[in-house]
Amino acid sequence: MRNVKKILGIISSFVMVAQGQSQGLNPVNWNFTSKKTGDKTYEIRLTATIQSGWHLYSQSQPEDAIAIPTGITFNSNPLLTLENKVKEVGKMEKFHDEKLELSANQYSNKVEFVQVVKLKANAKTNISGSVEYQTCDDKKCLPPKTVNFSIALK
Amino acid sequence: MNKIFMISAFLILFHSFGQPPNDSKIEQQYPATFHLRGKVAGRNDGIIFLNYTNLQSKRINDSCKLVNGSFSFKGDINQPTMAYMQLKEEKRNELNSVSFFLEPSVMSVKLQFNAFRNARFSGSKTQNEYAKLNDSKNVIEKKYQKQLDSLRTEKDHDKNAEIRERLAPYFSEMDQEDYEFFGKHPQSYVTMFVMRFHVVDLPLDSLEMFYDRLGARLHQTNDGKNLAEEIQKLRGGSPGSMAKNFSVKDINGSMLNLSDFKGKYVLLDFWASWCVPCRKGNPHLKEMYAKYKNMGKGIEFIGVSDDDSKPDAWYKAVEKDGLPWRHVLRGLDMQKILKGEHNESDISEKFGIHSLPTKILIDPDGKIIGRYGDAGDEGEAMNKKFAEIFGE
Repeated sequence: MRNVKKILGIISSFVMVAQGQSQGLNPVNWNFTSKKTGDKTYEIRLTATIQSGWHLYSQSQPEDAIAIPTGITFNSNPLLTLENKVKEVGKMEKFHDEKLELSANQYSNKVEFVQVVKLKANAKTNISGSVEYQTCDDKKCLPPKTVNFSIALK
Repeated sequence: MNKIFMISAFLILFHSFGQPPNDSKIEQQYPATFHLRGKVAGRNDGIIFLNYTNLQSKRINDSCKLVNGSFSFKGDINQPTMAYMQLKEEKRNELNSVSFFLEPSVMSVKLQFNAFRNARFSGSKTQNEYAKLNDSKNVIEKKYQKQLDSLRTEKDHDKNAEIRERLAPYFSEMDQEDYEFFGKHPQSYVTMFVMRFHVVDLPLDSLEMFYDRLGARLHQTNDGKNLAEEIQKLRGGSPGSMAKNFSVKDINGSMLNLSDFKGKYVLLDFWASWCVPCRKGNPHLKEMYAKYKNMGKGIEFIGVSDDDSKPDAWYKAVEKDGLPWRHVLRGLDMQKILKGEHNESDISEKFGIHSLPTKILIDPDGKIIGRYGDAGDEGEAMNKKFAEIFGE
């Protein structure tokens, strides 16, 4: 059963990093997938499912923002090139607070971070990296967390 | 208040069952493998994925070809573990995926195409218990289905908050269901698994009691050890414990020792420049500081900020909000956290801080007398406590 793995990959490993912090609240669930979209071309999706009431922040924030933007880092892999930047697919909300004079670009419910990757040659490899993110609801915030991922391209 | 009442009711109810059975009787070695056989009704061919953590703590993605709808998986695990099963499809389809407990035993499952969530497993005591808990939670969910749906579709931020307020009884009923389960199944793996999600909302003594009842076998598992550590940290930052000392340079570069403040009350304010609810609460905190700092034995505030990675944002926030008390950084070291190393200088760790803002009130002898977890009801509780100590 283990050799039936030659599939346009749907699932791939998701490795949660021990945070040394609360396991109690975990309002964001990450799922990492890859899909072959063309010759040697793959689409990587980092999907965040966000519990109702919580927000996840966009990678780009307005000037008067205080939130820590979501940061995605890919480990360098000589077999790969990254095409363009990480795209965000989801409904972005523009939060503004008059009193505190601040704004934020944020997502509720769900957002996908999409990166197109090209293989330099036909080879089996993984793309690995980490997501650093921070979440808040109306009454509290959780300290930033880092989740590592390693996604097979196949 | 209601929550605390309900918990006490459970405690009384289940206390009468006495001590959990003797550990040596239930101590038994699990076999180190599982065998899961299943059939998908309504689908003959295709590929099914199974995702779980194995004996070596490695995340495994296994797959199996359906033959007449049947499949079979084998693997190495030595304790119940959360697993995820999914049918391979062009688009990710929630209808054909299910989370369940995989147990080192011979298990079987009947799946229905497009209704994996109704899966019925057999051969695992843990999964049976988990299914039972989920069934009773599904009943609650159905009761609130309309509001939950409107919450999902409502895009307006303020309206969303409003709906959520009205859903408070739903969240409370869901919590109660878990507490009741803990009481009925004191030594279930499911109890330990679900307890992790209640470290934040259960009163500490209830947490400790449920933990004790898990018994030696579960205490020895990794999940059990993590839970114990979490509870111990929380204990260290809760009323009744002596506040752990810390010595650190403050925002002006002067040394700050918590123990130097003995003889006065101290409020530790765990916050961050990037935390909107914290920043919203600052004006009120300033009023409290002005009002109480010289009353009676006096009180000092110490802001402990989660801004180690960006001190500039910290300086700016302290200045903009005009916070006239002492300020230190929590001492977060992301590298150490990623390596799983203990960081002695992390103040938030010493006090078991889970979310911001959290405020910890320390009396003149250095003993913790209050812990206030968020900006809502608990902020109100803190106001009352101040009035009680210092007078109006």
